[in-house]
Amino acid sequence: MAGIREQAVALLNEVKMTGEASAKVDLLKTLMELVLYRDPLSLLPEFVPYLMEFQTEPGSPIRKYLAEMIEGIGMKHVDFVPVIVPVLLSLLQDATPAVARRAITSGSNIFRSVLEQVALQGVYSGQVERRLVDCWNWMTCFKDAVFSLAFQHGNDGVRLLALKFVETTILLFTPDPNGLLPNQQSSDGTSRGFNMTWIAGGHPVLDATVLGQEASKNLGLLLNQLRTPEASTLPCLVAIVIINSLAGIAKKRPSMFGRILPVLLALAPNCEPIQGSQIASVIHELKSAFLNLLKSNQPGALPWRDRLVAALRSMNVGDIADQTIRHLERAVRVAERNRTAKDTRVSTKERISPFVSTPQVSTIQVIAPAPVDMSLRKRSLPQENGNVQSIDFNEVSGKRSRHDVAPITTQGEATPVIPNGTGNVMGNTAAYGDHSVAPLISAFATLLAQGERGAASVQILIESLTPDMLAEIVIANMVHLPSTPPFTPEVNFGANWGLGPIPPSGPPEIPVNPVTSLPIESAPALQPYSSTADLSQDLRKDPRRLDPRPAVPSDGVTVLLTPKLEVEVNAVPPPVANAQTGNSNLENTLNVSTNSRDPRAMFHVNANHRSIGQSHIQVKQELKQEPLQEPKQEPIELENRVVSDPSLPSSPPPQSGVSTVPVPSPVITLLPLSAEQQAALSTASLVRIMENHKTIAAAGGADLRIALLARLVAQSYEDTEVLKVLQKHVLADYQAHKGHELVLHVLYQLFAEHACSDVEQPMSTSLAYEQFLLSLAQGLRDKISAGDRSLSRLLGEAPVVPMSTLKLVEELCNPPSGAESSKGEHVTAGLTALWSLILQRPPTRDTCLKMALKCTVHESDDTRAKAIRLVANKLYPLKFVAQNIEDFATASLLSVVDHQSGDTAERDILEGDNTVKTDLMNEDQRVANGVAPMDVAGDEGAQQPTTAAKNTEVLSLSEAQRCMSLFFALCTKKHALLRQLFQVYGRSSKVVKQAVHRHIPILFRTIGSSSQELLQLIADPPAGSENLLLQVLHSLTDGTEPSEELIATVKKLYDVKFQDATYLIPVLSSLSKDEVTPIFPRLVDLSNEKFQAALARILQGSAHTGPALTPAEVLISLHGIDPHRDSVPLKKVMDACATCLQQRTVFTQQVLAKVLNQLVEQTPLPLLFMRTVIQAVHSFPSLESFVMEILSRLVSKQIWKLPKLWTGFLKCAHQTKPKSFHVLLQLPTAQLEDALKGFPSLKEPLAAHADQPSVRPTVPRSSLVLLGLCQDTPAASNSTSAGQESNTEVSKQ
Amino acid sequence: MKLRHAMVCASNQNRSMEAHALLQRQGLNVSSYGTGSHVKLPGPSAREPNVYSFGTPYRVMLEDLMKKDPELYKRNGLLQMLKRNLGVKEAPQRWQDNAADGTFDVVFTFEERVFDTVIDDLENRETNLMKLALIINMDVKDNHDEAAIGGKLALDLCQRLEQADAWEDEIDDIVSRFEKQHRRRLMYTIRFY
Repeated sequence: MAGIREQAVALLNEVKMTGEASAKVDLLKTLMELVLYRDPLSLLPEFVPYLMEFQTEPGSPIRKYLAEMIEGIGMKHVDFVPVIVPVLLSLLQDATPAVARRAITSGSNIFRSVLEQVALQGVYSGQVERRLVDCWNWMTCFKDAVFSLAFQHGNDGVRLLALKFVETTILLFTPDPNGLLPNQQSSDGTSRGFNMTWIAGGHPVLDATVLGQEASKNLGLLLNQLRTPEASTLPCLVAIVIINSLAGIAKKRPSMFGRILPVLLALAPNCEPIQGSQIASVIHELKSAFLNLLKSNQPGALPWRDRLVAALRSMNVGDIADQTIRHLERAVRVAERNRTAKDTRVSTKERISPFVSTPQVSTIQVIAPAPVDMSLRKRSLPQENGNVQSIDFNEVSGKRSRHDVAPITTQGEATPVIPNGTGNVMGNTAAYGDHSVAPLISAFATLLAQGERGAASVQILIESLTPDMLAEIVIANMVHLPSTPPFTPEVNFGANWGLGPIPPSGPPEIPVNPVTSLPIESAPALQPYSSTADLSQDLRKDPRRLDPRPAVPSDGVTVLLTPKLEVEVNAVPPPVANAQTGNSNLENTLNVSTNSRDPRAMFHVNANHRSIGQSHIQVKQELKQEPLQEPKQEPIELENRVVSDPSLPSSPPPQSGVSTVPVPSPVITLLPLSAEQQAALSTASLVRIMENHKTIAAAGGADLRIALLARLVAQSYEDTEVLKVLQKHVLADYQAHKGHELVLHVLYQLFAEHACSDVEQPMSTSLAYEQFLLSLAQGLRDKISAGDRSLSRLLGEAPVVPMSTLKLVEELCNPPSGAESSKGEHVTAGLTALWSLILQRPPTRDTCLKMALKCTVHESDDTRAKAIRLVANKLYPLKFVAQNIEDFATASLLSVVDHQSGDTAERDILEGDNTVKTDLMNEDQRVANGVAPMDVAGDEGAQQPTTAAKNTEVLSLSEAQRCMSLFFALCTKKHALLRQLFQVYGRSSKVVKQAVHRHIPILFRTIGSSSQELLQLIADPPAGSENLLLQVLHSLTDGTEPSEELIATVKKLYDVKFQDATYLIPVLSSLSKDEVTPIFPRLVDLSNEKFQAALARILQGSAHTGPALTPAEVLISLHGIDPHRDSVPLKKVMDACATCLQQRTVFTQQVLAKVLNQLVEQTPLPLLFMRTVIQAVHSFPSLESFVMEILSRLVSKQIWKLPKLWTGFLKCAHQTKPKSFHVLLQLPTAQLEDALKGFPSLKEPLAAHADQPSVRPTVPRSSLVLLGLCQDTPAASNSTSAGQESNTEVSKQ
Repeated sequence: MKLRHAMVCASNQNRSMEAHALLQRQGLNVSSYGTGSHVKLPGPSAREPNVYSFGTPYRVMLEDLMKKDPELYKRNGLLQMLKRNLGVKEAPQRWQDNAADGTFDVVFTFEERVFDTVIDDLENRETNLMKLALIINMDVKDNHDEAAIGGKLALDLCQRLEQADAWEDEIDDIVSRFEKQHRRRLMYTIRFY
C-alpha cells in the first residue's frame, strides 16, 4: 500500500512539473487509476485536496479532466461531495466551454447518484445521515447553478447540456408512472430506477411536493423558452434540444402532456422566430416529436390526437400521421368492440345512461377533447376546491346545481362532519398529505383557468397522478363539500361498507351482510373495469351498477359479488363526482399496487374515503339531484321504488317527475330478484368479466384475473350455468383465452374444495369437478386439430382424472369404424393424452397403458400404426411399463401362434403351399411398393380358384398381423425378443408364418446385421426356425452389405451346424474367391433354383470387392468338380452348366471362348468338356471356327484315348460339319475309320471334301484309301505314320 | 479535438462505406453502419435483390456474386464496391446493434429515413451519459457516382467539425457555410447518449 502511495506522490509531483497539458492529463489519468481504484480508502482523503488544486491550471484539457475526475470520485465516494462540488461550481463558470460542459455532465451524474442515495436512506431508515444531507445541499447548489446556465444566453454548447440537466431533474422530480419500487431498482434507463413515488409517502429530507413544484416551475421555464418572445432569440440547436426534451418529458410523464403540447403545437406553424438558417432541422425535430407523441399509447395523449394530426398535416406529413392514427384507432376499436360486443341486457341499459349523454361519451373516449362550456368552466374557477371532474360532466343542470351549492358550504361546516373513526385516519393523511396536495390543487385550479386547453389537461393530470396522490386531493376536497344531512335516504349503502364506520347520519336499518364485508379480498375482481376506466366509462357504467343493488342483500350474494362491489365503489350519483373519482381512482391503486408502497395501508384509506363520500352523497341527494335523475332510472328500479320496503321506516314515499325543490330522496327499495333474474344477472356479469380478458392482459393483470376468476367460478360450482359460461369462453379460443391456465385454476379450486368439504356431501364438488372436466375434454375433443396437445396437457396437469374422462380418451383412441379420415386426429390426440397420462400420472398408469395396448391390436390400420408407434417408441423405453408392454406383446403373439381353429388350420395345410410360394416370391416387392395387406389379399384372391375359402384365410392373416405388429415393433427396440419369435415360428400356422414373412424385410432391415442378439440367434437358431432364418438372412443381405460379423456367423453356422450351403447363399456376394471356391461344389449340389440364386450372388459380388468369381471362373470351377471326389451327382453339374449357358448375356461367347481355351489345356481334360463345347457351338454358331481349332488341338492330344470325350468329339464334329471335315481328315486313319463307323453319313461328304484338289495332297494316303478315293492297299501299313505326319504338320501350323 | 464519426446508410455498402473509406484515409476516427433490417444489393432484376444479413463478410458476398453472374455484377460496379469495402472492414454492421461500439460525436446519415431511424434508435437506448451526439443528414442517391460525391462532402463537413473548437457552439455556422458552398441541404439534430 505504501508503495502505491509513493507512486501516487511521485506522479502528482511529476504532473506539477510537467509543462505540457496533454502530458499532464496522461499523468493524471495514471494517478487517478491509483487513487480511485487501487487504494481509494487511504489515498483519496489525502489526494483529493491536491487534485482540486488543478482547477487553477491554465490548460483547459486539465481542467476538463478534473471535471471527469470529480465525477469518478463523486460517484464512488459520496463523502467527498462537499469537497468537490465547490470546484465543480467554479468549473461551471469556466471560460472554456468544454470544461463547463464536462462539469455539467459530471455534476448531473453525481446529482442523480446523491439523490438516489438520499431517497433510499430516507425511505428505508426514516432518517438521513447528516453528511448525506450536506451532500444533497451541495447538489442543490449545483442544480441551481446549472439552471442559471440553462436559461441564460451564454455558450450554446454549455446551454445544451444545462437544458438536458433541466430535463433530467424534471423527470427525476416527478413520479414515473411506470417506475419501480426501491427494492426493484435494477435500472430503468433514464431515471436509473429512481422514482419520485418512493418518497411520496414522506421523506425526512426530500419533499415530493416541493420537488414536484420545482419540476413544474422548471417545465414552465422550458416552455417559456419556446414561447414567442423568447423563441425569437433561440439558436437552432438549443431549440432542437428543448423540443426534444419537452417531447421526451411529455412521453415519459403523461401528466405534463397537456402543458407541453400546446406550446409545441403553437410553435409548429411559425418556426420563423427561431434564429439561424436551420429552420428545416427544427421543423424536422418538431415533426418527429409529434409523431413520437402520436404513437405514444398514453391515454392522456388521446385528446390531442386531432390537433397533432392537424399539425402534422400542415407540415406535409399528414399521410404518416394518418397511418399512425389508423393504426392506433384500430387498436382502440378492437378494445372497444371487445368491451361492448356482448350486448347483454344490462349493457344495453348502460348505453342510455341518465347522467351523460352518449355522444359526449364517445367524443371523450375516442379522439377530441371534450367541448366544454366555457362559462361554466370559468365559474368553477374561484371555487378552488378541485371540482375537477366537473369538466367531464357536461350535464349542465347537474353542474349548475352543484355550483349553486358549493360556494355556500365551502368552508366552515367541513370538519365537524367527519366521524371519529375516520377523523383519525384523516389526521394521519393530513400529517404528510396536506402540504403535498396543496400545490396540486392549485395546479388544478391553474389548469382550469386555462380554459379549453386546460380542461383536457385536468383529465390527463388526474389519470396520471399516482393514486395515493389523487386520493389525498380528493380527501382534501371533502371538507369543502356540504355535509350534515338531516336524514339518510339510501340506507342500502350503509350495508355496503364493511370496513368504514357507519356515519352517524346513516342509521343502519339493513343488517350488514357478512359477505359484503370482504371488499379487500374481492376488490381485485374489479380490475376489468377500473383498470382502463377513464372517467366517462365509469359514468356510463353507473346505471348498470345501480341496477343490481337491490339484489345485494338477497341470497344471490356469492354470484353477485362483483357487481355489488362495483356498486359500492362507483354507484355514487354524479353530483359528488369528486368522491366518485376518488373511489374509482382508489380502485386503481390496486392495479398499480406495484407503485404504491403499501397497498394494504392504501386500502384503509380507501375504505374510509368511501364512508366520507357516502356522507356527501346523502347531502347531495337531499338537495336536488335525485329528482333529476329519477325519470331516467331503469324500469326495475322504478318498480322497486313503488314497492316500498317495510324494513326502511325512514324511507320517504317514492317520487317521480322532475322537481327543483329539495325533496326527500326516494329510496331504492330492496326486492329480492327471482331466481331466474339472479341467474341471468350473474351469468351476464360473469360473461362481462370473462370478455374483458384482453384489457386485463394488456394491463398485465392476467394472472391475477385467472386466479380470481377461477375462485369465483369454483365457489359457485353448484350453478352449472357458471361452469358452462366459463367453458364456453375457454373453448371459444383455448389459446388466446389462456384456457389452459384458467381451467386448471378452476379444477384445482374445485378439487381443493372437494378435499376440504365435509364427509356428508363430498359428492357435489367431485361431481361438479368430474362433469366440468369431462365436458371440457369433450369440448376440446370437438375442436381438436392436428398437433394440438391441449387435451393431453389438460389431463396431465389436472389435479385428478376421473374414470369418466379416461373413458373419453379411450373413445378417442378407438373411433367407431367409418369416417376414419376425420378421426385420425382424434386418435393422435387420444394417444398423446394417454402418453402424458402414463408419464405424469402413476395412479392412472395401468389403466391408460391397457388402453394404449388395446389400440396396438386395433382393427384399423391407422389407429394401430399410431398406437404401435407410441407404445414402441415412447412408452417401451420407460422402465416402469416396459415389462407390461413386453408381456402384452408376447401374449398377443402367442395367442395367434397357438390359436388354431381346426377349420383354418386344415385349409392352411391344403392351400398353404401354393399361397406361401407366391407369397414368398412377391413379398419383397409388395412391401417395397407399400401395398397394404388388403390389396395383397385381392391379388391372391384372383390367383386362387377358391375365393371364398381364401377370404377367410386372408382375414386370419390380417388378424395375425394385427396381433403381431406390436411384437415386431418391440423387436426393433429390444433384439433379444427375436429369440421368442424364432422359437414360436416352428409351431406356427402357415398364416402366422406368412404374417411373419411379411414383416421380416422391414423388421430386420431396421435391426441391421450388427445386432449381437441377432447374431447369436443366427449362430444358434432354435429348431424349426430354419426357414425363418433363411428369410432373415435374405432380408439382411438384400441390397445392403452384410456386416463382417454376420458373414462370420453364417460361415460358422454352415461349418458347425448345418452344412447346408443354402444358408451361405445370402452372404455369397460378400465372400472372396478363395472362400467361394471350396464351397462351390456344395452350391452346385443344391436344387437348381437355389443354385441359380447362389450363382446370381456370386456373380453379383459386393460393391467393394467385385464379383467373387467371374463367369469364366464359374464355368472352370464347374468343370473342375469331380463327381466322386466332391460327391456331387454328375447330373447336377450338367444342370449347373446348362443353367450357366442359358444366361447368354452373362456367359457370352467371349467368356465361352476363354473358358474353352483354358479347359483344353487342362490335363486331364474335364469330363464335361466336350459337352460344353457342343453346347457352346449350339448356343453361339459363330464360335464354330474357334471350336474347330479346339477340335484340332484335341486331335493332337489324341482325344480318342479318352473314350467318353471321344464320343463327344465325334458328336461335335458331326454337328459342325462341313467345317469339321478338315479336322476329321487330320485324324489318323484308324480313328477316322472309327468316326466313319459311328457316323456313316459323314463318309460321302468327307470324301468329296478330301477329293478337292487343294485338300487331297494333305490327306494321308491311308485315309484316302479309307474314303475310297485311292485303291492302294500296301499303303495301308503306312497310314499310321502318315497320320502322325499330318498331325505334326497341323500342330506346327 | 478528436471526434468519433459514424457514417450511416441503409445497407452499409455504398454511401456509408464510400465515406468511411474516405474519412479513414484522411485519418479521421470513423465507423460505418446500416439501418436496414438486411443488407440488400441489387440483383438481376429489381424484384430479385441479393439479400444478406448484417455481419456477412464482404468477402463472402463478393464470392457469392462472382459465382452468380460475374459479368452483370462487374458491369454494375458491385464487385468493385465490395472489393473496396473488404479493404475497409470485414462486414457490414447494423446501427441498431452498435451499442457496444461506444458513443459517437457525429453521426452522418445519407437519407432522411435513415436519419429518422437513427434518432428513433437513440431515443430508445436509455443510456444516461449526458453525452451529446450530433446527427446530420444529407440526402445522397444510392448510386456509385452520387456516393462518391457524397463521401467527399461528408469528409469536408466532418473535417470542419473536427477543426472547430467546439462544434456545439458553431454548428449553425458550420452547417450554413457548408450549405452555401456546396448547395446541399443538410438537416441536423442533437441527441444525448
